[in-house]
Amino acid sequence: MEPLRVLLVDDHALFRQGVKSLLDSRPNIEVVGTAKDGCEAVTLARQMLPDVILMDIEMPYCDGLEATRKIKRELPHVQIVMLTVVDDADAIYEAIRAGAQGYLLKDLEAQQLCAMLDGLRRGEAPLSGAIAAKILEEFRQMVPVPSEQPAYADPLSDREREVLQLLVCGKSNAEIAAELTLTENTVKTHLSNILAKLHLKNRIQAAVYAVSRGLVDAPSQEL
Amino acid sequence: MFVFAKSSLFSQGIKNLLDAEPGLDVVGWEADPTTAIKKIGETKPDAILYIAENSCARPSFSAEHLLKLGVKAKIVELSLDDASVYVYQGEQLTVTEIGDLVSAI
Repeated sequence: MEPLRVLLVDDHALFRQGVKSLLDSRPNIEVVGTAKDGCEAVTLARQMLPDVILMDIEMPYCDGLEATRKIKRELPHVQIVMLTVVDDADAIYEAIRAGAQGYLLKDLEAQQLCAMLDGLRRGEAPLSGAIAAKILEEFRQMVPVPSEQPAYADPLSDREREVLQLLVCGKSNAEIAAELTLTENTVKTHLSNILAKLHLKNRIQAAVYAVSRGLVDAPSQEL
Repeated sequence: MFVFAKSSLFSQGIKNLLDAEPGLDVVGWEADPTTAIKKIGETKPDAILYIAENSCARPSFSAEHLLKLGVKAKIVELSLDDASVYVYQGEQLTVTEIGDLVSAI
């Protein structure tokens, strides 16, 4: 297997030299260049066409996020992994948006770094444990959880509530239409609006949600 | 030599570079302050290289703290803010190559 060609970007000279010496000692990794800031990284990326760039974030002149954007625009096949002490959510989000394939913190062991780079060859995304946890937390906050939506957040109209009540009683769309003197298409429209307002996926979820939140009366036994 | 840095990757890298230098033997490296102090007590190095990665010193591991503990080793603090080396209590040098660091040690 060809060695993985790595470009190392960090503004600290001793860090560059230290990590280079660690990576160079591995048979399957070759450090093809080092750069001290984002501008140098862009220039060297064009010249060396590395497989992977290990990119610091906080650097003078052109930081790692800006350099990542520029390199990914020009050389989309080059994989970029952030290697930094910065662990705030904004930086992680910006790095992902800029096109970074991974995000590693400098507190990892040399062996872990090499294992992460091996994983990159297999299509894995190198992520420090703490970073993966932050991404999951961000994702959890972005996705609405139906059970946490307050019932009054997006109130249903009287007609939608009537449709929901009959749905809870197990009526089909045709039966609901007949009972409310509506067309079946109008019932379908009401149902779509109900699902959208309550952030739900189907009529079963709607029925469970409506009863558990007291939006409608629970169906009686004979129904 | 004993090497301490908050970043494990950094301390391993520096250890690797120093190991290649004649006349230097890195007896240990650590990223956790408590473990570092324990290991320093066990290995009794001649010199401790302490890498300060930002201007906020770690109170649990600083040159002052080591001196208070009665550590006899020479303490070399490498600041990454300005790439300077402080040899307690003595001179200040600028470091861009491993050779500069070896000279300071």
